[in-house]
Amino acid sequence: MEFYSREVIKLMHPPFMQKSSPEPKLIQKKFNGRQLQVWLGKVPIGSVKGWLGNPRIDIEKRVYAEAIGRVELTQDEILDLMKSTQSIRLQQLSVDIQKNGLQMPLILTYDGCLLDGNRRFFAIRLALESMDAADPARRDLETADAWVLAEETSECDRHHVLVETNFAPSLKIEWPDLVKAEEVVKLYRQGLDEDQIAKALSWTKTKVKETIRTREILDEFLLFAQQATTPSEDDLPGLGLSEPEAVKLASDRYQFFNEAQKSFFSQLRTDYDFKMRFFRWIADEKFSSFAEVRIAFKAYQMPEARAQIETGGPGAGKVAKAIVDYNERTIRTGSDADQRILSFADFLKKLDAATIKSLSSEAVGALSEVTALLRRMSEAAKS
Amino acid sequence: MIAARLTEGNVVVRGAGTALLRAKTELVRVLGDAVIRAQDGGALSFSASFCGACFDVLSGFQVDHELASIIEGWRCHAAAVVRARAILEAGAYQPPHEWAAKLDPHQTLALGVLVEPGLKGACLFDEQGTGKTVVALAAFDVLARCGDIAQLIVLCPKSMIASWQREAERFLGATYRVADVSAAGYARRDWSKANIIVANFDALPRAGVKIGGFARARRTLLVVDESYYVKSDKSERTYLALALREFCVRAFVLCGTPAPNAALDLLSQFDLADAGFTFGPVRPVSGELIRSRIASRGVVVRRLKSDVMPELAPKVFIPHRVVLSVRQRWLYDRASNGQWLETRGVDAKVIRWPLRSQFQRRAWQFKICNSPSAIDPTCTSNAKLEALDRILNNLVSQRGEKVVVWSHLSQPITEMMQRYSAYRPVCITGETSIEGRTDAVDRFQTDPFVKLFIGNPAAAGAGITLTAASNVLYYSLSNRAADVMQSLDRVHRRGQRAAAINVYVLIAENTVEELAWENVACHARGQAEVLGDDAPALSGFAPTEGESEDDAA
Repeated sequence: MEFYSREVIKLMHPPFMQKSSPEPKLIQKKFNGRQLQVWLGKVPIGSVKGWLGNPRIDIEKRVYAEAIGRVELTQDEILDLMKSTQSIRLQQLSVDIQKNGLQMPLILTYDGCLLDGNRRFFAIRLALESMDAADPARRDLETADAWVLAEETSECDRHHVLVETNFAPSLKIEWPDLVKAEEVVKLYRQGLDEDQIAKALSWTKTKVKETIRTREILDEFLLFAQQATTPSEDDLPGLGLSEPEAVKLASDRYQFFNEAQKSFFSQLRTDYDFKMRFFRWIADEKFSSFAEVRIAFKAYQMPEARAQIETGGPGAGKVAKAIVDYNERTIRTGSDADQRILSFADFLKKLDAATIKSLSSEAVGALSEVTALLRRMSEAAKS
Repeated sequence: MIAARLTEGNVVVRGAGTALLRAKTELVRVLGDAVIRAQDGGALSFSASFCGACFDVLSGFQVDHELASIIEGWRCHAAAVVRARAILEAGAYQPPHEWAAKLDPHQTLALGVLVEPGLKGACLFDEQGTGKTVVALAAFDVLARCGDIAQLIVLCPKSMIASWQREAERFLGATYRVADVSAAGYARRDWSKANIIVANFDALPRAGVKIGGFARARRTLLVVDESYYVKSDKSERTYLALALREFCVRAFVLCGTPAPNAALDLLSQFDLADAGFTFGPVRPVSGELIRSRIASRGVVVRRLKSDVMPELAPKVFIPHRVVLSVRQRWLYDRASNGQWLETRGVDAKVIRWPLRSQFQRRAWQFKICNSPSAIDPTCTSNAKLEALDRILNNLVSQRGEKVVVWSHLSQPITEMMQRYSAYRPVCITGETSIEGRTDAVDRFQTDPFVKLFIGNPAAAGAGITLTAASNVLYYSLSNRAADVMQSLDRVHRRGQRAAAINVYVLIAENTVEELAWENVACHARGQAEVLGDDAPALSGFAPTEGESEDDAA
């Protein structure tokens, strides 16, 4: 049995890393502005513990877990789930890795848990699953380049890695908006203010604020969506969806809710009738573009536009928007005309005798024409 | 069903489905961002101090016993608001006989509103000089006699402590013990046996905890006099006053100029009066919204002197436009255009005054108009003082009348005290002690040889009575519109018997003073609009009109 001093143990690479070809090296790496020590080397894919709690497929996990009646899923079940989730595009990534190899190393904690590269990890597993046991290329995929955080890395540092790899803009497929919003709200409820969250996630403060607001609307939508379709004494009818179904629907419509937050957040918060109608309109796919969502509150206030949305099928928002636009244009034109007539009358009143004397015959002729026109207009208005 | 209960000073609401959504929407409409998600998830939560604003929403919930009693208190207040308005509408109230002889009819009516059973608070915004102090004292006496209130705490400016003590002794006799709490001497006084504690606003930071302890121990009525001192909801003074309000069962705010700048000034004052019943935590942004909220939930008593004291002579504004001396004008033009103003001291050394910001420039312009020697000791000519000489000579020396002179700059006050020593002037500035203030007012009111009162409107503009004079003169004006509006009515108030009140205004021609006076007049018009007054405080005053001293000469 060998005995090592504490300092030596600190400098030992994780046991699951390959000891040679190449030998693991301790290097400095920067994550979200923080300098961290990481082991650079290769790890056997079989020794990596995939991130079961990765929120990227949280919504699909909830639907699946409800279907099988169990909350905890295995690595194999997660792989199956990712394979069947179109938006993950696991098959394409798997093919790409077989062709080009792993471009970015996986990031693991000291005990082998995956922090970043979950898609890549499962894509490699998918590739291995589909390859013949005798395939010579298989050896290349059985180990993968990895950065393993040093043993003394704190929980806070691990958070910095997560932020850098999932919130900073990159070419990777980011987490769904709803999942990101949940993470933001989690931080908010932990007591961080908007400034602190913005700093922690490398986002702007406005984006954090909007995300918190959108999440508030979504929370209300989830309550509505899960409400039974047959109303009880106090309640209005909802959509009667299960929680995972409601979450899926909310996630799909996330950007519409974001648009609502930008356009009529205050009205949505304080007008119960409008809120219920808007949620139903969203669920019934009445809107097909952000511009249509933007006019929802105005449409609610205009009986004609509201009736169009209520009675029309999916996409009725388009007709409602046309009505709202038309009405607004008519009102604006009316007030424009008022303004111009008033300023013209004012101009006439202020003309002094010398200016009137010096008017050209053309101008005087135009004025007589206008006078006759005014007389006709005034008679028409009276009748 | 939605349920609500009181937990550690917060109301926690529970429920599910669209019923919870409806409850949340209704609460957010009234309380805005004060409604937060409770820590344990699902439910909503907000501070119990906002119950007044949303008691009608809470009435529809299933509530625990403690919360039910709070809601019941607010329901009683809401009913009392309706009854109080009915009293105002009817214009009649029968007061207890001991007060019937002491009060005028308009004061009796206000008393009826303030003592309405169940009412948690009201705003008494009668114009200054109509006798609000005695109404508040009468209300305390009536409420104390029926056992609803055990003690009175008065918050007021420093200049008014003495007058509150005097009025309490005059109208309540020895029935109650009065103690004062000034910022400097609160620790020395024994006010544990007092029924009436009079504290100035500045005493709150030091003595707030002790006063709060007293308020909590017994059923307390809080009266906030000259409540425009607590109009800013961001100031420490307002924060502490609101904290004290939480321990009091009833509160009245008294002020003749509650909105000197804008309708927003009213919000904190209403919060103090009715603990958030009218506005809650939501701050309306437009004057129209504020007015409609007050009309639907607030209790306001506002009468003008022209309505309730028709025998009082109206104010007559007499603007005097003064042409600056040649040297003053030269200094003024330099100060208006340059980055620096160079003057020479008495030792002939050159002094360079920086004029980098608009504020600096404006301050220097005012000083040059009113006290040029403060900037340039070699400038011996002061056109405004010379104009003042002529006016005082006419009013005091020739007619033997008393005059009140206001100046917001201290240097001219010092100069005037020396220059007019023959008129035996008395003076109140920020440095004058409480005793000194009382003495100055008493001497001016009673001593026939004291012809001149000189004061800074910021220090003496509120809470004193100077009805011995019927002439007011503004030598220079304060930037704060409230100070001007308040100081105007030290002379024009109850007890004034003169046939005419003349308000002389010295304005340096073609200077920033014209604009400043226009600004004050504009604020007065704004307040009149907010409060629905028929005529603003400076009605009939036009700063750009009036006799020019040049023409007069």
